[in-house]
Amino acid sequence: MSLDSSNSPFLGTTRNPFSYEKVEQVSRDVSTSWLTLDQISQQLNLFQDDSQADYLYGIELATRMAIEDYLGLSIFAIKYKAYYGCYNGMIGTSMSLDLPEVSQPNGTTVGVVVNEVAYYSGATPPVYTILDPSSYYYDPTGNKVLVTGVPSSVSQLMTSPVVCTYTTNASPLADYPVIQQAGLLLLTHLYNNRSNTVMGKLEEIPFGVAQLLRPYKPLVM
Amino acid sequence: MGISRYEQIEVNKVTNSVNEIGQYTTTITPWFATRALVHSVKNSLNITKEERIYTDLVNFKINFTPYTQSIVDNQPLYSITWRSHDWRIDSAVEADDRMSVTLYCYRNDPIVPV
Repeated sequence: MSLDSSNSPFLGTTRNPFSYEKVEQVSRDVSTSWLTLDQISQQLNLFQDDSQADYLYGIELATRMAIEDYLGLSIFAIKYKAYYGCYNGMIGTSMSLDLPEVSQPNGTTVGVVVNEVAYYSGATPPVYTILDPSSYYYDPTGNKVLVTGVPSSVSQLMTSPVVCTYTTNASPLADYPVIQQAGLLLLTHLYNNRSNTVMGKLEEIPFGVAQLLRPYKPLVM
Repeated sequence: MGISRYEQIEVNKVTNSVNEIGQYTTTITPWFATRALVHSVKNSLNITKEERIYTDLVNFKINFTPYTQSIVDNQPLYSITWRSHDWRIDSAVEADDRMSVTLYCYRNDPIVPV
């Protein structure tokens, strides 16, 4: 049985709560289509009526982002910046930086690329200093980056002076027909319901979006 | 309660003109294919003294798009091909929420002697 650590980011076990304190998306694809116009036209029974192609392109992007956000899944690569606290006891020791979202390897492509690990120094104003890549590595078994030797010059005043910038590559799950079908269902819903309010009560169909996606939604333990 | 199904239809452009010897001509050119909810198919027969006149009516419900809006705006300029027959648009009704267009279409079979 895994051991929870309330004193994260130490230990190699599963940690809860996770050690990051803030997460930002710093780069995300907001222009590439995931579902093809042909798939969408078939789904909406538009067939060769392509007069709404630009509109459909917009709701396709929104649909894809909603699926990505719902599953914590990268259909296209997403770059994150996660922030971690640091105090005296951590200096010089091994730190575990939990990554809020990860991706699994896709063939020969790795799931997660750590772009850089950096820290803010204790100077005034603090200096953003990038660590040498040999001092950290990604642990795909625990969705975390292990860092050794954060120097004593790390800021003791800033809330989250250690920063990990990483990229989650496209997940192989994005090609699964069941996930694409969930995307088409959601897109149909957005196409048919263009107002935030309706007169009646909408009811979900059996085997709808949430049910199709549920097996692929990672459990947060 | 009737069940309507999606069936493939083709939307055509209809051009009327007069040829060099003064005859009225009608040219039908395919525009795009789409799918419509087809319902209320009705074939009716009028028998006069000398002939039988068959008139077919059908409703096509399609998504409201820029293309289908132009059909509503200029319904004489378009026709529908469904089940290999050419259907003329009698009425075109936009839904209030601008989400669909219902085309009431008719066609005449050849008149048959009684």
